Amino acid sequence: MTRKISWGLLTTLVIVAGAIHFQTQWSYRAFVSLAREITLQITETALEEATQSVRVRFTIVLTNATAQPIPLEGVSCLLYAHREFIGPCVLSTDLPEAVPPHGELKIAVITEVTGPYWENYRRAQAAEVRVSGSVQLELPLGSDFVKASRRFTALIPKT
Amino acid sequence: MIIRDRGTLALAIIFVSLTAGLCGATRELGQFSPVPQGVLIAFVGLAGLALGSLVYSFTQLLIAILLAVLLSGGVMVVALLISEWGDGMLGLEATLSLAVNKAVLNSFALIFPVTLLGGMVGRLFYRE
Repeated sequence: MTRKISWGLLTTLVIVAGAIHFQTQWSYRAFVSLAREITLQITETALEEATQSVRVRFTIVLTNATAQPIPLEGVSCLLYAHREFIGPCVLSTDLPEAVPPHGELKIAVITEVTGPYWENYRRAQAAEVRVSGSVQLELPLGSDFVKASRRFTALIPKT
Repeated sequence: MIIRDRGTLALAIIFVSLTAGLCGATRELGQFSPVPQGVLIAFVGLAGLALGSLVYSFTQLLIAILLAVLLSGGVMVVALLISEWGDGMLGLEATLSLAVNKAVLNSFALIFPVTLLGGMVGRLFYRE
């Protein structure tokens, strides 16, 4: 291999790697700015105790400030009383396919904690329940979709 | 036909570092890359191959690769910092720490072995 070929190869690699990296950064920036326009809030929280159970209620509000619908893949969350696991969340409504453009989507979560999970709750003697989970979305990027998840944590005090 | 003066060697190291650093940083943002990961790794290997065909001894190749690995780490840190710049999701300290972690991991787990392999293949094409 002559010196000219080696130098030519090195120069080409620097230019091509630079161009690819620039395009990658551009796409990443576009993804981040799009993701910033999707906000998540936890509202209408309630923790109601009964004799043998406890009901945890809250609403996940997803706001889409973009001009395009954002496909929704799923929602998952877990409930804790202090460090005790008291069960997974139960969605009380069917999930729609997408968050509408310039609109919001409310997902009601009502979970009845009973049985061994309720025992855990009782043992923890917590004044509040911690919910932590994520909403999985598909963000449109060019002609493709990139999977993204928006995590959330909230403390739900006794009502 | 070969690298004997330090200036030319330094230039070759800088070229390899830029290629490897940019490919490493692109790999970290893999989901957004227009090319698959294999292509990026091949680029690093080719840079090592070109370097191997330019240096006159194995010792010089090894030193050049080690320097290129260190410099590529720096390139990666800067590139990853730029990708998070102005984003504000993490503080500067956390972003820097994350970028350094990724750069160190990529430098030693990917760039060093791949450039060394490429360089050793490149030595086969070396002509006095």
